[in-house]
Order: sequence, then C-alpha cells, then structure tokens
Amino acid sequence: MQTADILRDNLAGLGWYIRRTPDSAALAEWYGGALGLPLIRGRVPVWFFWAAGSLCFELKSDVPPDSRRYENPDSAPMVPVFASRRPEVTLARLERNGGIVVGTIDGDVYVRDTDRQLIAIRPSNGAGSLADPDVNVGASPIPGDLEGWLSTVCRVPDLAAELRFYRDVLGLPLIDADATKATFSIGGDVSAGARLELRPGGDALPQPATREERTDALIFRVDDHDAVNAAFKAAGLPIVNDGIRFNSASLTYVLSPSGRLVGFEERFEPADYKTPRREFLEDREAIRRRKRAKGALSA
Amino acid sequence: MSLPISTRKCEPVPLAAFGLGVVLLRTASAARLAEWWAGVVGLPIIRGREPTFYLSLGDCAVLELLADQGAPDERSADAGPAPGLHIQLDSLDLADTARRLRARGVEIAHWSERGNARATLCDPDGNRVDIRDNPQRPAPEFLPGCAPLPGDLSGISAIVRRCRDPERLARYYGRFLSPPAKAAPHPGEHELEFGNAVSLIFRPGGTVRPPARRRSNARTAMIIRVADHDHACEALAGLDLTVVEKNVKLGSAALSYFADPEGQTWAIDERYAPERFITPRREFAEDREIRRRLAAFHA
Repeated sequence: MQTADILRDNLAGLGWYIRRTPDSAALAEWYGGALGLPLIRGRVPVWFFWAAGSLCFELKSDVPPDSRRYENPDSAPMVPVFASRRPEVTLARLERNGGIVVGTIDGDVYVRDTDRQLIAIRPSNGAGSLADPDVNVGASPIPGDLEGWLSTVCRVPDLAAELRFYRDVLGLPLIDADATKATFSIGGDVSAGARLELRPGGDALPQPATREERTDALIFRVDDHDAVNAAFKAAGLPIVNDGIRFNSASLTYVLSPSGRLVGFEERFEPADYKTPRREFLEDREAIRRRKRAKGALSA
Repeated sequence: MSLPISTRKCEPVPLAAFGLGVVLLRTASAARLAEWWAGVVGLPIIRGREPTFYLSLGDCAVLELLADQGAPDERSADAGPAPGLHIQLDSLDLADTARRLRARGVEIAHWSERGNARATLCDPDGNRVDIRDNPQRPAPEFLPGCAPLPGDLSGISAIVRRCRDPERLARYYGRFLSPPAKAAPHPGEHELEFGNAVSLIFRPGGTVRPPARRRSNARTAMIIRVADHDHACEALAGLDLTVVEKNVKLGSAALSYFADPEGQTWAIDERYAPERFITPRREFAEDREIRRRLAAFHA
C-alpha cells in the first residue's frame, strides 16, 4: 500500500498545534487572558488550551527552543489562524494585553504575541463549523467572540512540491489550489472544519536533530501509529524523533519538503496506558468522534 | 478607580485582609473535579494538572482543587462532601445558567425564590454550590491570565458556612473580618465581608467537627490574603485561636492555619513579591494584580 492509502485508513484528523517558547507560563497568560483560549490543564513547562472541538493548542518550554522569530507574515513558516465572530473585540483584547498587530493579508489580521510569534485572527464566515457547544473537554467555554483554531497558514518556498507532499504522499483532501495557494481539509473525523493553507513565501528549513528545535508544529491524530511510522519509513520520508513513546501515546514527526514539522500521534485507550491515569476528556471526545464516524461508514 | 479590595484595617485586630484569596477543596482526583468545575460550571482553569488545579472564581479569588496524595495520616480526614462550607456564585441570569447546567447533565438539587433566586447543586464529590441570581453585579474586568468566566456568571459572591451557632461564629470571625455595609439578608443568618466583594455568610445547619490535626487533614479551607503574615500572626495572637499549623513557609508565600469553633479550617496567606521567592518563577497573575492595586492605592 502507498503511504497515502495507509494514512487515509489511519488519519483521524487534526489534534494539536504546538508552540515552543522560553517562558511558557508568561505566554500562557497571553493565550488564556488575551486570546481567551480556555486552559484544559497546564503548569510549567506544558500548557494545553482548548481550541474548539477536540483541538488543542499547546505551549511548551521544556527545552530552549529555536530563538529565531518569524515576525513577517509574508514569510512565517507556520501561523495558527483563529476564527473570530467579532474580530474587533478579539483584536482589542489582544492589543490591550501586549499583542501587536503587524499586518493584514487576505482579511487575516496578523498579531505578534508577547514572545514575538505570530497568530492570525480571521473574521468568522458565520458557518460556525467549529462551534459545538455540547462538547465537554473539561475546560470553561470559549469566549463568545472567539470561534476557535480554524486554520494553519504555512508559507513555503516551493508551493508545488509542498502541495504534492500533502496531497499525493499524505493523501490529505485538497479543497482548492491555484498558483498562489492550496487549501486542504485536515480536520478528518475529529476536527471538522480545520484547514491547512499553503502560501508561497519563506525559506526552506533544515532538518532538525529533534522536534524541540522548532517553535511550531502540527500534530495529527492517527489510529495506528506503528503502521503510519512504518509507511513513512518505507516511503523514505525524513523522520524527526522516530517513534516517541509516552505513557499514553506514540508519536512520530516527519518533515515536509520545505522542512515544516508535522507529527502523527496515536493516543492509546486507557487500558493500554503504561501507568494508569484518568483519560483526558479531549482524547475521549476525539476517540468518540472517530468511532462514530467509522461506525457510520461501515453502516 | 474604586478598589475591589479592602485596605482598611479591620477593628479591633489590624489584620489588613485584602480579601478572600483561595477556597481549597481536597478530593480524591483533582482532575476529575476540575473537569466538572471547568467543563460543567464553566470556571476557567488558571493553571494546574493532577494533583492540583487552580480555577478562577472571578477577579483575584481562586478555587484550589487538591488531590490527597500523602500517607494515610496526611490525607483529608473527612471523606465525602465538604462539611458545612459551600461556594456561592452570582449569575447575571439564573434561568440561563440553570439551562446551561441542565444541558450538561446537572441536577438542580434545590431552587429557592427567597430573596434573590438561588439554585443549589452538588459537584461530583457532593460539595454544595449555590448559584444566586444577581443581574446587578457585573462580571469582573480583570482576568488572572485565563479565559473569562462564562457570560452568565460574574464570580463568587460568598462562602456560605452551614453552622450550628451562626451568632457565635459571626462573633468569632467578626474579630478580624468587617461587618457588611448592609444588614444580613435573612433572619437567623449573619454576614461578614472578606474585603473583595465576597461575603462570609453563616447559615443554620451543619455539624460541629474536631479541628484538623494538620493542614493536610483539612477537607476544606478558606484562605484570606494578608499583606504581612508575621504581623497578622502577631495581631491574631491574643485572640486565643485554635492553631492547626503556624508559619508554613512556602517558596513564594507564608501561611498559618487555624480552626474555628465548629472545626472549619481557615488560613491567612501572604504572597511574597518575586524578589523574595525562594525558587525563582513567574509571579502568578492574580498575585501580581493584587500588588499592583495595592501600589496604586498607596500611591
């Protein structure tokens, strides 16, 4: 089987955005108090915010990360885009708390956080695709103006090569593409509405020795990490941190042609945890959604 | 700007209480309880993961959920619901809040129309929570580095002490907490103020319990912020208080714990300025805000 076929069988959908920073406690105050993301759990060095559905936005300061900052929206390798129903309210809150608006591209307002890393605020189209008031991941509600983490914009030096990687190698569904952009649906069964947008710009990044060298990464949820990992190896993809085993998960990162870091993580069922602990509600929610979708497919 | 904290010296004891700082609930699983208080009631998590979670009660007041993890004799002596202490939250629209809670599977245990309408519910440990209709009280503007309270809630307005002898307890606490500007709302009840728009209401009911042998045996505690722990201890020394643990020096705070005549643990808590921290770390947002307000007041 091709990598794309194996991933198509195993890809549950988007799971996490990871942003590394020297002081995660300081930045957590901004993402919580200014952006308004509800915290699920967190203390130095790791903070998990709820970003809609079963999506998480994670801040980490486990090791000294890359000190480079990509403050130009035209070339930043990876920027999370948050949908807002009332952008003026969200932006005012961000600016009041030290966020700096650095520019607007295609309606997205780019804001520098207090660690000089970028996020973007996009006016919600009103479809409410991320809104799911019945979800309980153990966090307080997302504030009324904010809809959640809608998309990720990756600026890449070779748009065609990157498009081929996500479409042909990973098998992600392409929504639309032209000479200036390509948009993928990456939500899968667990994060409906989530998007990956490729735009020209930025530089190719060298292969890191470990994931911690990068400030930003996307992580997908997969059903069978080992199968996906084997497929990546068979396809000769550049792997970073091969098969990390956590208490309740396995994770492998690969690099896109321009060196953007993309992870694939399987969260185990509680019976398979090395050390018993309470299952995280966002994992339970993601697994519930995945099972529901698979059941619907088989029916 | 009006200060939401009191800086007046309470008579006759110059405790200089800056308000209710923390309500502590001990539990078997802090994560499980945090999922309920955050995911169901909607209190934003400020920081934490097992064994301790800190949630915002509005403005600078914090709910601390702490899992018993020590040896058996260091655990909370009383299993089950908090004896005689519950939190009262204010709702801008109680009917709305009740609808939201019922949609999350909450059973309203009691509904009272006496005075301001009030709904009583219980958390998974059986701790009672009152939610009072109070459309006049705006939501706090200050966020301690976390998401805002849900739009229908404006935060804690009181700790309700169910007690055998409300008058006696009112006399006991009245030696260092202030009387309210207005009279107690209901016959048979007594009320004092912590100093940050949070009251301590004594309501008939509950049982007398022996004082905790040490602070880790206390099932619950209400913790009052003071400017100077040692000075406050000196001031309290002549009041013949039952001491649970005195001069507990932590990395960034000093506390002393006492038991009231019906066995409820309470404490005074001085949070140091960062230059006095034993282990350097980022100052908590709520502590920083209190220091900022005090500085502004004294200026």
